[in-house]
Amino acid sequence: MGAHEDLEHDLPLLRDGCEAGSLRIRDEPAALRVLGLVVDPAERGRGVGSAAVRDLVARGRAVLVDVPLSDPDALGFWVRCGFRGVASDGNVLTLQHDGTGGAAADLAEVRRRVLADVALQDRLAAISEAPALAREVALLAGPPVTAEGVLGALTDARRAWWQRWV
Amino acid sequence: MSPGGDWLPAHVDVRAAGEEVVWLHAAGARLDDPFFAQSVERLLRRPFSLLFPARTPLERLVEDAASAPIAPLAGMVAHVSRCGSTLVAQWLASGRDRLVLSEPGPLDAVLHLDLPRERHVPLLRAVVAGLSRPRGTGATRSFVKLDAWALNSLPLLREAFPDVPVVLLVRDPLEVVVSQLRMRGAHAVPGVLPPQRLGLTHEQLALPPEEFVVQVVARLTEAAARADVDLVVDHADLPARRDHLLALLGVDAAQEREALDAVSGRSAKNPVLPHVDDRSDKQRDGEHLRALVERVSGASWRQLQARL
Repeated sequence: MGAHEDLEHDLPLLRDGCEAGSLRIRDEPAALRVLGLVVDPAERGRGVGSAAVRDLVARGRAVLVDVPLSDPDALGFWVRCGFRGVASDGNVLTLQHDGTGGAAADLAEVRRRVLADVALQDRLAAISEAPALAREVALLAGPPVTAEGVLGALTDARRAWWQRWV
Repeated sequence: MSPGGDWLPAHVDVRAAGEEVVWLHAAGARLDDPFFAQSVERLLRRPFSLLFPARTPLERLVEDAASAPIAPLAGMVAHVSRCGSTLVAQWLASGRDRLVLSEPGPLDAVLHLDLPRERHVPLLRAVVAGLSRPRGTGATRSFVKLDAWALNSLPLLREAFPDVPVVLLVRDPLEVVVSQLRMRGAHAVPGVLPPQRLGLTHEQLALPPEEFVVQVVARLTEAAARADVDLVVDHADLPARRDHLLALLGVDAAQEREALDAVSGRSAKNPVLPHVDDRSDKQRDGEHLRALVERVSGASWRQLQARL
């Protein structure tokens, strides 16, 4: 048994409660690595794969996937899911998602609700600790947004402000 | 929907697709740091501010700004930089009923948009109105300390706020040059600001560093010399003329002497440090630039001195 095998997991993909494929990942120290994403032929084109990826990145951790450069369909899929290339050996491109896009996308709706509701603004603005606010916002947003994902979105926002001024 | 009365227009994002105003929730924020940008940084330590900024199109600012009460603008402070303007801002900020906007970036961004006057003036009033919301601080009037380079835009500002008094702080250009060479402001670093904003040409960006600063200060001194203002005060006379200056801005210094004296004893830009009078040091350190500064700024400086 390899050193990593006990950290590998198969996650069933569900649609309407029925299994529609599987996602195999490896839990590495710095990231989750996608080892395989399979959608049953009859379920393809229905967003099962992209929903699974969205759930994965909403965990708030970096996600990596290795894709053959010779497979433009697969490359297009992962790029559409918000991944970007970070390394290549000439045959395989490693793509990465920083683990915040899922939360950021879903936070757009929460932002609309907060900005339209003064009482909600007052309640959330009174929370001065980032983890506590992240928990509140994740509860408000519901799945797939997680507190970890919201903390990632906070980190992104801090970086964006900093870049604006330098 | 317009951002509510607790929101502050903290930044104007100039994008190819159109400018946007970025608002931050700022309930209770007195914005009393030496500079507006520092107060915004402080706001951004609140996780809510980072996670929930509101973005609105700039063209909606006139409507947005009118959606909440304001602490009306009661005075503007123009200056040539390094001449005590931050100290004046801190004097003003020492009163709980006063909101001081010290070199607010959103005003600078709007001031330098390329717009016809009939659109520019309402937009300037709107950005100042947005900035001047009391936001639960108890402020009943507000003051703006302008960026030094806003001297070139003073006629437009006076058109937008015709009844608001403007005080102008000036200083011997040699001392300003030496101060800028020791620690440069944004306008003293070639390329940080568009040269036309400083009254310079693109070619002048390539001047040797010291000469660039001398030219920047010369343009500021020229702009100051022709500025239409209500009072001109020299940095050297600032302590003696404090009460007169504040009276022009509607502040009775006699009622606040203790608080004002406490502010005067600290470095305005870094309030944890004591104030040190270093005018003679600056005159000595600028000896090698004296002739050049006299050649490019001497006439303007004498015009200003005649107005003191």
